[in-house]
Amino acid sequence: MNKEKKVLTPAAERRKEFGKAFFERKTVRAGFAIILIMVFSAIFAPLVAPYDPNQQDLLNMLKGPSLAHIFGTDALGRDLLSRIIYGARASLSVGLVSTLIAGSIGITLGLTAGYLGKWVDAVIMRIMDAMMSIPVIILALFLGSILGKGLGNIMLCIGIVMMPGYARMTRGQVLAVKQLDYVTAGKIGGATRAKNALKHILPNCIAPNLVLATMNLGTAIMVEAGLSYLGMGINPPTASWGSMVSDGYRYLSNQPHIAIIPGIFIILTVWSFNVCGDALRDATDPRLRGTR
Amino acid sequence: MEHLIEVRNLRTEFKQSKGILKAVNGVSYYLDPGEIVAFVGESGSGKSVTQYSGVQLIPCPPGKITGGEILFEGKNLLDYEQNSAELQKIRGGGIGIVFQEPMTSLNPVMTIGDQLTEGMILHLKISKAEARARAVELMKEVGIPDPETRLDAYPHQFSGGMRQRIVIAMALSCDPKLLIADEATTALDVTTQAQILDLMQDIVRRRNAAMVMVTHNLSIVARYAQRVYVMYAGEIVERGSTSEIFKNPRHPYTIGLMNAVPGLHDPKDRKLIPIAGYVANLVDRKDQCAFVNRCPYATRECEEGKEPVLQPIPGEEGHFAACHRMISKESKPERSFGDTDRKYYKGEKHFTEADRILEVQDLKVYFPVYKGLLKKKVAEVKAVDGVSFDIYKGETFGLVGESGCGKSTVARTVLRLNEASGGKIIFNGTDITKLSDVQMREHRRNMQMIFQDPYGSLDPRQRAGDIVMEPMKNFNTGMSRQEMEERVKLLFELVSLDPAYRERVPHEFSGGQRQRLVIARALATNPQFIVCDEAISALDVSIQAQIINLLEELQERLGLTYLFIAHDLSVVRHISDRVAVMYLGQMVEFADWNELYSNPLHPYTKLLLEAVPVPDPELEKERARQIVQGEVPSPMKRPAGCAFSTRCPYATEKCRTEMPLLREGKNGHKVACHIVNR
Repeated sequence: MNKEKKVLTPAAERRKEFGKAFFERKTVRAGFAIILIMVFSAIFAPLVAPYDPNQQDLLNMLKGPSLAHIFGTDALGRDLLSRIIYGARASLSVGLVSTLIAGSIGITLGLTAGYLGKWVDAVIMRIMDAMMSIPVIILALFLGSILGKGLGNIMLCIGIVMMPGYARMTRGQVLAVKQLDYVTAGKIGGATRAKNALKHILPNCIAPNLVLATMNLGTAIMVEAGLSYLGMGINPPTASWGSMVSDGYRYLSNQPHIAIIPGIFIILTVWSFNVCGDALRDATDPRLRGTR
Repeated sequence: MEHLIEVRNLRTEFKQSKGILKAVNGVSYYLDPGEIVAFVGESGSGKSVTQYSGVQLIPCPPGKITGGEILFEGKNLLDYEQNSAELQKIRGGGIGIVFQEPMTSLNPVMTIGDQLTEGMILHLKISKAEARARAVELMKEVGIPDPETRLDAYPHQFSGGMRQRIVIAMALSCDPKLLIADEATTALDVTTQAQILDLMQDIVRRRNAAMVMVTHNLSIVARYAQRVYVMYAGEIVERGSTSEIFKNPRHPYTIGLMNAVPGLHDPKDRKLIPIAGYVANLVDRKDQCAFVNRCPYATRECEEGKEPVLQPIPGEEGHFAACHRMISKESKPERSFGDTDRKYYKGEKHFTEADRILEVQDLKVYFPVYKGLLKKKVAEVKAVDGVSFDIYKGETFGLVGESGCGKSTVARTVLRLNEASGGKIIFNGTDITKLSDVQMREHRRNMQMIFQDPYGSLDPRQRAGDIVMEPMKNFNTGMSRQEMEERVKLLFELVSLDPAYRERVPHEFSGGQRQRLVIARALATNPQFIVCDEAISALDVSIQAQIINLLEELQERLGLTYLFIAHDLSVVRHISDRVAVMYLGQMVEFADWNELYSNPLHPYTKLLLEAVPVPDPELEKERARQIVQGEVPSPMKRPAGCAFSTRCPYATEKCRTEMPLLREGKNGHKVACHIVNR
């Protein structure tokens, strides 16, 4: 076959290069596939799930894995596989959206504080310090009681709770980056303060936040479980992985799979996002260009 | 006779993703007691790796010493394991190492005393009190005043020069037979450099030890070393006594290095000839002369022949060169990589009032010092205190002085990166001292800057093309995307970068290429005035020559004006039309280049010039030389009278109490000194 070399536009060239760098490692490909499968089955849950996740079957309570119920059943005889598939909807969206909220607000605050300095820095960072001094679950409960129940409010509440970490991290980075010559060069090159901050400082402060975000994803899923356990989260019987773990906890001694299986899915999700986050960081790191 | 250390056929390799890098490829050398031997070469030539291989201080893996012998006092060091007790004994005891960066080679959380005595207690098995007494002796030996009390100080309480003295004291603590100084003075000022090198020379003589000086600075070699090994691409390409190598260099690389550095006594129209091209890839090297791609003397035999070995030069004992052709300085090159005459240098320039582009009047920059919980302003650091000068269109205005003299602060303030506390900056007839950020932007397009560190001054995430295009976008030049793309291409060609590299990120360029990119960015908006703040200090000698030539060419073609800041007085002499000398925030002397260098009046300028070594051993021997003692005082503790009075050998009572004013003498030569202006 005659392979013709296509001339790519610079933008297409960059995309191709990025894709190649991102998917270079096998683990990344595996992690990315897992995320894709989870997201798709969550979206198309009614088509994928073998049973109604809330359908109780009291004759088949606490059953181990079998052909009829691949992951077995829980204390109310509900099919675990179906609950996991439906639970992915709540858990993945809580994990992703709350991390996104925390990251975007936290990074914005950190950038503002670090770049403007002076009293703006003092005010923002003292508020962040105050938030960090309160235990996560208590702060989340407090916010939850103000915002009220519901999936959206839980995401917002978890997002706000996790925000100070990003603000701190970003501020530290900004303080280091804004000293560098290329920021001065931007100023001499006519960049306004806002442009300098967004174009030269912000992109060079993202990498560590990416790592933080992939780690926070798991925490978010677990905090949601904690809130559900305390009655502040998603209303039963709607499934979420976190609440499945805490429900199954009671049967850990005789039917451990009820807690362990959703736990494995949480770990799998965190791992997948972790490797993808690392790959994303490396693929966007210009210093690693050409070394692959 | 047995040598103190003899290295035979040393080979060190680094494993890389693309293959095996032979960093040291069959290097042999020796040292006798009492000798100072220099290893010269550009970065990447393997000169440091060679030394670190000797004491097995290279990271393994990826590094690996694959062959050779290192005989130190008769014992082969390669017989010992990397972390063996025997080798540890030699590293701290028999061989002392002075590293390049005095800021990072001392542990910031340990006192100087603890760091000094640590090795002695370990190697000499002496008590803490004995070690302390010895440490005091050592501190005296390396010239640290008041050693008993200073022993309990932490590294940050010392200046850079003092820290380097401490590092030397540490290296000496166990009476080493061999001292390795790896670019030990590169990070220091000329005056401090001279002090430290004199000290080391003195110590070597007194103790009958030997010293290896690893450096890229040929002038230092000329002054201090007895023998020289020139390294290129992991191999020794020439060796011999210092006088022979400088008088009669026989390897094209050595000749190239010498042609690339400016000297204090060169004729002004001498062109610096950089070594063309780049070091050949050392991964999977071929059996061929490694320098052939850059060599102006290379013939077909060199390209087809095997790798040359070191051969003795007839009639010169101990002088060897690894070259097929046995050329000399007089040999005619086979090919040319560019002009050899300085065609862009047009001789003396004359200016009228109308040519004035920048006028700085009585500039003052004070930085407040805050202290305490309430951040009360307790003092001011007078970084720049009353500096005035004019710069005319098309000239290069040199600004020299030791670090901390305020030269960079002047430059940054002129560009309004710092706020002036007093005085006026008039650019193109407009007073820009108090302009707001928005108003200032209009002037920024006409005044640009080239930074010292080509690694830090480019956004690592921006593509080369975008970097150069950014100022065009920012300044609303009204150009269409197409026009900007065209201009980027033009600028790339102007600074001799391949426009095809536009899609690359800074990391993919070499240091010299990055500096070209920085220059291209500075030229993007067609400025009139460019500040070069130590623009060539971080570069290798041959790259330095390239950039200097490029700056000169651009000046002539585009009518640029430079404010050229550097601590290298030879370079400033080469490129500048007029030169100002600063000391502790004030201008102490000012004249055109010829007047200043041939007839320096201020004692500080004289001492500075005497401290600069010249790349010629014969001349070095004859030069009268007085090394300026002490260090620049902190601007917080400025002496009451003349700022230089604390270090000036001629200072009188009047100097200590009364501040001298800058007064004009013959030929527009201005100087601020009571003794000269009597």
